[in-house]
Amino acid sequence: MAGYRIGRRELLAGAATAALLPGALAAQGNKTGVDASTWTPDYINKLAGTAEYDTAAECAKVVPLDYKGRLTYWYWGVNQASTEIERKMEADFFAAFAKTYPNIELVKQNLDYNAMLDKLRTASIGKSAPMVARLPILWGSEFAAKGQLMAFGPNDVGYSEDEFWPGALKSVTWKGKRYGVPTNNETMAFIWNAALFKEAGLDPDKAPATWEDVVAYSKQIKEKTGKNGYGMVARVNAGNTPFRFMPQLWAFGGGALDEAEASPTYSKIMLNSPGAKAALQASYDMYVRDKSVPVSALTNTQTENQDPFIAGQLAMMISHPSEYALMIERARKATGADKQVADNVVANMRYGLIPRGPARRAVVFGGSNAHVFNPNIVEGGMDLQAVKAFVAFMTGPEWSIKLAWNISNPGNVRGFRTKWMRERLDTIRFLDVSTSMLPNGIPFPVLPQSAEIMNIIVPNMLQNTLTRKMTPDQAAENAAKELKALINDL
Amino acid sequence: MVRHRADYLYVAPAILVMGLVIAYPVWFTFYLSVFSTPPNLALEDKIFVGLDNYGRILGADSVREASLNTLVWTVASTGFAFVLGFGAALALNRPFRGRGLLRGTLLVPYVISAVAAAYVWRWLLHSDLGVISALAMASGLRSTPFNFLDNTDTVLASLIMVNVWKEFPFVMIMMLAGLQTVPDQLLRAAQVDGAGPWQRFWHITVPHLGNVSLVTILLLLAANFNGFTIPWVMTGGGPAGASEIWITQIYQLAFGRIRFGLASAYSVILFAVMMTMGYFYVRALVGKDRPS
Amino acid sequence: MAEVRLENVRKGYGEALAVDDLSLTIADGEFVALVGPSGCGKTTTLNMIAGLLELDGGEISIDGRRVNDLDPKDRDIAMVFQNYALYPNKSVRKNLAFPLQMRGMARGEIARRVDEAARMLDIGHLLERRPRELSGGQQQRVALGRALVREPKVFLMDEPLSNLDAKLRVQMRSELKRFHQDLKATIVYVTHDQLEAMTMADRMAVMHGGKLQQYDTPERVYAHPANAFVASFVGSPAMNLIPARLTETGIAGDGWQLALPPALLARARQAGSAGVLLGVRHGAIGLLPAATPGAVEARVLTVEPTGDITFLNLRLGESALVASAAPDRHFTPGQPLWLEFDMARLHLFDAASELAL
Repeated sequence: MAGYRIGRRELLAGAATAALLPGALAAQGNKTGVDASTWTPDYINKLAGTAEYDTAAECAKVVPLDYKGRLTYWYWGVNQASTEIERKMEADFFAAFAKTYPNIELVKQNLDYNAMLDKLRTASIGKSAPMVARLPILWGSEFAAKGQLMAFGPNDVGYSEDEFWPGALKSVTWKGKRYGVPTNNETMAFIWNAALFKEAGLDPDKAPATWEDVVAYSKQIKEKTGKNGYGMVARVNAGNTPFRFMPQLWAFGGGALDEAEASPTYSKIMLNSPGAKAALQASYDMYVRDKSVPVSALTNTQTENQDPFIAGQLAMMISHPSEYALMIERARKATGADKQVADNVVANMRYGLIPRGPARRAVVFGGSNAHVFNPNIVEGGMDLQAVKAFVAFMTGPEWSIKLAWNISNPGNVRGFRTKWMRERLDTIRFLDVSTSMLPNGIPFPVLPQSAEIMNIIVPNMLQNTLTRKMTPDQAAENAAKELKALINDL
Repeated sequence: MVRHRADYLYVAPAILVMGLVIAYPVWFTFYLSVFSTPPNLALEDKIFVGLDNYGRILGADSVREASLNTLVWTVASTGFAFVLGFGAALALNRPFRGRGLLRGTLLVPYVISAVAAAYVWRWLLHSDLGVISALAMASGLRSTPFNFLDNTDTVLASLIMVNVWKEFPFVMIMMLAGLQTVPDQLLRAAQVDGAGPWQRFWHITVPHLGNVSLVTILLLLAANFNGFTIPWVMTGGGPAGASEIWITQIYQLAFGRIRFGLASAYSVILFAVMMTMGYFYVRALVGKDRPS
Repeated sequence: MAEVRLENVRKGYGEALAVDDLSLTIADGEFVALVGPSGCGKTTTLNMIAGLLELDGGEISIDGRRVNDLDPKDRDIAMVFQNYALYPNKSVRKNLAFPLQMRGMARGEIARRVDEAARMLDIGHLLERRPRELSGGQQQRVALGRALVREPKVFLMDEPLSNLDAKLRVQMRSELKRFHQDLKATIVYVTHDQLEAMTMADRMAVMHGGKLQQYDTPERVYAHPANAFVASFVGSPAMNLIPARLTETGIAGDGWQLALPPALLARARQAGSAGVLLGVRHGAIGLLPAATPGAVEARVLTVEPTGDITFLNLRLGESALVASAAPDRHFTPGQPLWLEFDMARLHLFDAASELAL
């Protein structure tokens, strides 16, 4: 398969990190049939298509299939930009649920991503929340902290906790109790333009191995080709920024709090640790010293990197697994001379692991969880059985993989064994690479202040550094001070 | 006396709607402003802190920086928009061929959506791929692109430029209307008296336009003080807070950091400033009708 | 003071001509009224003399100098407007001083002239007030003063009395006349009121449809109108114009005939007129109670006693007439009367061209 070639050494290093993961996944393998300690593209390939599961039968163990009830469900679903297959999967899902539980009335609401959080906050305050909602991984802790979620975990729908990633379970835990079930998880990967690498005198098929390499490569690309190297994103109040900077921060040994540790307490501040300062220095070197990244990084979101990339003006960036499909889409829409350039870029696009740092290789653990709201704020009262039936259905191996088809991966690891994983591996390019970062995933701190830390404090620290308003040291200390004030406010 | 009772009935629906949509939220904002609402607590568990929030805001460094930005943003936008709009009105005051078309064209910035305009300008001024930079480089004026938005020195000026572009047609329309009311005979008398165009402008047109100008400037000041769309869409208040103004800070405080109590206090302060401006506006309007 | 000469002046707006080939000369020190109904072109003419409007044809010269291309401020004229056009934000003193300041005159000289004008127009006690604090008459005097301080060659006045009430108007008329006499100023005065023109002007130029109808002293315009328009415009009540046809001995209308003096008849014959208009003012009609040779029979329609004089509306054949009589005579509507015309004060106009015969 042209497109990836990751050295054995790097894979083993990645796997070694995975082996350090605590919890059931690494050790057991038998109950789920999945062993995360050898999570390589090869292993992923071998795993696919080795098991079949009967969704209806599994759900029936939790709630009888003839149960009569009502369910309200809010989610962030397909929209105008969604692909055909996403639409099909979503439609199939609701049809299948109706077939499996014909007597449960499902009242659903598909909300726009940008509007959903505010709507839910408002609904919670106004006691008109739905029974179940599927939320991006960062959002749940806020509601849990306010007591607006009901204690609910995999065990409540008949699944063992071994079936889910430790990082995913971290993200549904508040003060030691579970408040949700992971539906899907994804991690980002590193993409680059092999043609530009070659033009700059770099090995076109090798991703930069470390973050220091990223800085060096970026400089070389800029000097030799005149094009920008690394697609830095540093806009404040934009979700893309922490997803790109945190892996860098963690790789150097830093962090916001101690979220990268095996058992985080979320009370130790690491923004001014030596690792964090080193990470800032790397960004400073790229932006200020070498000028090898777009000047507009300070106001760019990832969207503003896509056009330069497809036009061959940007060499490498951290990217979502779906970016490849997106690039193909854009190349298809290009016209005239642009089309040839775009097609060229797509042909030269490569996926690799996110670079490693002195401390570790890290990536943001992303995904979504299914949360159940506290009955006292649910509109019209709670139907717990209907909720259980639905969540069991949605987070089983079959639908957790189908609903994550294009852009994510099943939250339930048994999904990797289904025949659909085989189908995905055959049709989605680079899927094996982008899934192989899962063991390196670190979720953002599971605190209600997480949004503020990730969207405001961390990007501000980055901007203070890059505009030279403060030195990297000063920016880090300043951010740490702000974070301390924030935590103490609790 | 009896006759007025029906009047109250006619106004009642409007007052009711205003009460719901304006009065209640305003009151609730005042109410929230004396509470602390940390993100880990539900709203009903908020903590009473008295005037603590106000103290924190008035003492915060970032607020001090934003205040300076807000002042520059408001005054500069208003000033330049007024001068440009007034100039356009003067130029369009006398008929010439194509005047109607030009007047319509000049109105375009004012009528198009602020969000759309902000996005377009963001791309025009883009530090790597902006059209303006591309043209300058293609014609040999520069070798590297202009950095309008990604540096702390020029970002506020760039935003002000976009803002002025957006709102000068409003001034143009107001002043054009005012110019129509300058008595023709007065201008002719001045012409006969030997006043040249500039002198006629200064001695007759300007004094006559005093009231319209005052009203226009006050309206602009109020609109600009609250001007959210352009800074938010173009730079989000960055880089490093260089384009942060009161209203963007309030928004971020309320919906980014979810500190409703603090944001409410901040809003109350903004409200007080706005009401002061509103007072002067009403006084200027009413002053016109005062008997001499 | 100076002479103003207009030669073949023309001004058009689109298709129509507002002023059509106007030529006249205003002598040095003369008070000339441009008079006519609305839209006759008098204000347009005044604005062209002032330099506020461009000519489309012809020449204007002031004091022998061609001024077509000169700005108003370089023509050495001063203008008084219908609405006074005083600067509302300036005090009276500043209003008076303004034109001199625009000329860059020395402060001392300005003060001298302002005080002089104020004294002459009796507005010295109003110098510190604003225009809106003055009455109509006072504002008009300030407007005059503003023109006066310029010591211009020509004063141009555009219906300056139209905004005043009747009583004030009469008073201001005589003041303006005195103004003219004291200064021996050349004044071009536009008005639609023929009475104003008659009482104040040395000569009046009657205009209609952009054309000059007649330019002469008020007495002569009154007594010898050049055409039917002037005849009916000047004098109030208007001159009677009765359509008639020429006969062997004179003229005849519908059911009446009148013998004319041979000289008058000859003139009419010579001009080859088919029909004529008989022009006779109300005061030239004698009213006889009984038929008399040379008199025509008419019937009384209405009687309008005004105290000083009684006006009668009469019917003569198909035409209506206005006649007047002493206040002590009594008439009743429907009563027949025999009209005797004063032959010395008869006018004949060609019915087609309306020119005097």
